[in-house]
Parts: sequence; structure tokens; C-alpha cells
Amino acid sequence: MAKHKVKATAGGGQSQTKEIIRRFKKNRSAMVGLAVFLIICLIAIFADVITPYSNAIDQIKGARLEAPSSEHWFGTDHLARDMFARVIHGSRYSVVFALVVSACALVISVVLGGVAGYYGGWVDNLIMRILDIFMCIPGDLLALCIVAAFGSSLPNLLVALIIGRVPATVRIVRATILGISSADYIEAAQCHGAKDARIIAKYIIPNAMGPIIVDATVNASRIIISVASLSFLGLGIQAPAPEWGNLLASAREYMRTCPWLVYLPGLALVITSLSINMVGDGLRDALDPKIRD
Amino acid sequence: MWKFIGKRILLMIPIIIGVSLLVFTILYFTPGSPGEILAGANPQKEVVDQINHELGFDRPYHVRFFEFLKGVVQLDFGDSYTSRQPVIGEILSRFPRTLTLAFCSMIVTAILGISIGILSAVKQYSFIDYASTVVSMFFSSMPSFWIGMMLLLLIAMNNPWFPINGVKTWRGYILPVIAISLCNAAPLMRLTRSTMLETIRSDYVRTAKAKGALEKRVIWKHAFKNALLPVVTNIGNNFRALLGGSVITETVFVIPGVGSYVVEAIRNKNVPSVMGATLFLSVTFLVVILAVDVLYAYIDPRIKAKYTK
Repeated sequence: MAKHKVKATAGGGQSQTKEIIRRFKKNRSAMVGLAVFLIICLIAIFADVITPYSNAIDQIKGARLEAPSSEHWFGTDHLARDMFARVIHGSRYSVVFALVVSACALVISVVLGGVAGYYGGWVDNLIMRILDIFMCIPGDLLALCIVAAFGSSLPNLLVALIIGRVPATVRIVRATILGISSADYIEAAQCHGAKDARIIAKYIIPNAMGPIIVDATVNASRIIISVASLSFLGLGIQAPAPEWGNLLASAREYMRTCPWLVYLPGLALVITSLSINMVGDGLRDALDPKIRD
Repeated sequence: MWKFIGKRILLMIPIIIGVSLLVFTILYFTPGSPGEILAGANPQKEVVDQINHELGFDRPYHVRFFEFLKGVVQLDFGDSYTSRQPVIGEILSRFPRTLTLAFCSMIVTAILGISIGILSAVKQYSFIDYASTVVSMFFSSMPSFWIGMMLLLLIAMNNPWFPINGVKTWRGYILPVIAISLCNAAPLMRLTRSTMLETIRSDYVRTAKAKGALEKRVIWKHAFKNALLPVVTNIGNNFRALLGGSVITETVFVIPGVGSYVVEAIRNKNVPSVMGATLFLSVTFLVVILAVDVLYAYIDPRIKAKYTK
């Protein structure tokens, strides 16, 4: 965190944003990651153009558990559905969940962490102690409990995953803001009589955004894995929806004879999550060039 | 030191009450009642009401919560709806497997993550550094259950020495431990690398080098000990992920531990079991975090001084 403080005191502004973009562009693996993620987003958006949704759901007569061929590129599953169409349409769930959940978690965390970090005192204590309780429940278990109680509909899953992500993100936001609000330029602004709202919007948020955005990208790749994990356990997106975790769950029984059912959805999952991680890494280096040299 | 440990244990009490309240409140909204589950197919309404009344299910929220809390204090989480056995007994009989899995994974994760992390920091920009960075990036993007499936597919199915499921012998633990460790070692390795790089560049390490201390001594005596602190924190926090991750790994490898118990209980809407197991895993995590904090004092004399004051 110490480094971000140094960066923050160096001042925000247009030129620094340009500098960050320039450093990001120079990072080859980050650009590859970004390109791959954009391609996956395009696949998700145009999934219906590539292959209609009915192909992912309808059964093909007499084509059960077929190996990949020119007709069915990724083979067919145990219910004789085309795996290529299922993997393509599965990208929609992962991309939507990654973007929506990490964006919502980001907004909630910036508000909670910002209030806690900037005001301190009992507000900080109250927010952090409540989050401590959330932090005690292991991993995805909280999301599992929420899904168990409220059912695994799409909105419930979104809420469950957001709640699972918020506590850790709030901590990062709070630590970042805590570092910034003790900086001299904030005190200077306060001496000028600037209002809290102005200080937060004008000075704190722009300077705190770097580490927070990096955290949001890391979150996005974790969310993709979480959704797949929940669906794999049969408690996420419900079958017959072609979610990647679902595809892997139904592939378990046929693993020995039809390994492509395990390889292909898994690879789709890994490539998506890897591309986001590469972007996150590039962003981290671009925002904080000290780590590199 | 003992005073500090005692204080920390007292501080755990409000957190445990908080976790109980949270878990109880979430699961309070589970649709259906125990009567509907226990009375069998096509139950009569009177029978359902009778069972609900016996279990105290028809009482208001706060009464039931305090009843639950009273049970928690006496280590009694109620009876499972499906087996009608006390939940705590079922959890305790399964817990050793989950603990073994989490503990072994933690050790393998620490060895892999710390050693490769130090190596790539010391030899920055070497082939080893690049290779381990790329490999760790891959593994941190993989879901542990997919690694588990791939291990089953590529190793266990061709090699009868590894059991495909269960942990009747110690060999059954090898693949699950590898699956969990690979996922968790990747971020740990990156963290170790960056903290080591930071420490290596600090003034006191430069001083030690300038003094003419041997490279080996500088790395292990001066840099490593100071870089260890955030790494130990991360290993402690990882234990939370290990306990949560055990939920899914136990399902892949069909290990009858607490994790697979929760999943099964959630599928059956077996509320006391879900509540009991979640609370149990949370308290386990709290105990581990306490142990990590005590360990700090041994690593860092500055922290010990703060405690003993």
C-alpha cells in the first residue's frame, strides 16, 4: 500500500492516465489477455449468430456421446446435444456474471469502504466488525447457504455472489482510502474549506481507483470460477442451461469414455479466467511500475 | 503472551454469535418446514403441524434463535432431518478427513509457493522466474474441481495405484491435495516473489551485502525472515479458502468430509446440518487465524513486544 501513497501524492490528472495507458499498451501479455477477453465477449454477444440457442438445447437423434468431428466440432454429450453450441452459449453466463457481479461488488465496496476509511471512528468500527463476521464463513459456503435458503434463481445467485465478494473488496478499498486521506493534499483541501463530498469525489476517488480496479479484475476471474463451482455442485445455474460448470458436472459420469466432455468446457473456463487475470496483471504493473524494475 | 491469547479468545465470542445470527437468519428463510420433510410422501397437515410443533418450528424467530444459540454453547446443533442423529456427532465423525485434507494442502501449498516464490525473486528475470510466473498464472486461473477432474482423468484412471474415490487409504489423499495445492500455491508464489523483491531492495539488505555477508546468508537471515510476515498472513487466510474449497474437492473425489456433508444437506434442505456444519467450519477458521496471530509473535519480535506490553 505504501507505494500507492507515493503514486497518489504525485498527483492525478490527465497526463498520468495517459502514462498508465501507455504502459499498459507496452505490456504484451496484458494486450493479449485483453484481446482474448474481448473476443470471448463478442462470442457471448453474438452466440445466437454463431449457432442458434436451440442447437445447445435440442437433442440430435442417434448422436449420443459422439467424439468431435467435422459435423459436431466439440462432439455431443450424454443427451445427444451439440457440445460446440453448448460451450459457445455457456460463455454468456460467465461473461455476464463476471461483469455484473464485479461491477456491483465494486460500487457497494467503494461506498462502504470509502465511508469506513474516510470517516473512521465508530462508523468504521461498525462496518468492519460486521464484515469480519462475513469474512469468517469459508469461501463459497456463504453463497451456498444463500442459494439453499432462497433458491438458485438468477437474481439470487447474483446477490449471493455479490455478498460473497464484498467483504474482501471493502477491506482493500478501506485500506487504500485510509492511506490517501492522511495525505497532505487532503489536509490542504480541508484547510481550504472544501466540503467532504467534494474532497471524496475530486481527490480521494480518482487517487484510489487504481488498486480498486485491479482488485475488480481479479474478482471478475474468481467470480467465473465461483459460478462454475456452484453449478458444478448443482446449486448454481440449473440444467439444462449450458453453463460451463453444468457441462462439467454432467461430464463426470462419462469421463473415462468421453474425455472431450471434460477438456473442452474446462478449457473455455480456463481461457476466460486467464485472459482476465492477464489484463489484471498488466493493469497492476501499469499502475505501479515500481514492482517491475 | 497468555493474556493476549485469552483476550483474543474472548474477542471470538461476539464473532461466533454474529456468525450464528447470520447463518441462522439466512437459513430461516428456507422454504418448507421440517414437518414436510420428515412426514414422508403425501403427509397429512395434522402430522406436519405436530412434528413442527415438537421441533419448536412454529415459535417466533427470536425464540428459535436463542434456542439455537443455547444449543451452540452446549455444542448441540440439533438433530439432522434426514438421519435424525445429532448433527455435531455427524460433523465430528467426518471432520478428521476434512482437516487432514486442509492441513496437508496447506503444507504442500506453503512449500511449493514459498520455495518457488523465493527462487524466482532471487533469480529475477531468469528462465525460472518467467516459467514459474507463467505457470502460476495458469494455475491461478483454473478451478480446483477442474484440476481434480483432470488429475482423475490423466493419472488415476490409468494408474490403479491411485484410488478414484474415497480416502480409505492415505493414497486417496494425494490427488485431492495436489488439486487444492496447485490452485492455492500459485497466488502464494506470486505474493512471496513480490514481497521478497521488495525486501531485497530495502536498505538493511543492501547494508548486509555491503558488509560482505554471503549471498545465502543475506537471503535467508536478513531478507526471508522479514518477507515472511505477509506470506504467513496469506497462508492463514488461505485456510479459509481451503475449508471452503474442500466443499467442492470433496465432491469431486467423493470424500466423506464436512464439505460434502454440507452439499448433501443443502440438497436435502436439511437446515440443522447446514447450519451446524457452516458454523463449525467458521469456528475452525477462527481458531486457525488465532494460531497464525500467535505465530506472528514468534516470527516478529516487534509484534511480541506489543503483545507483552
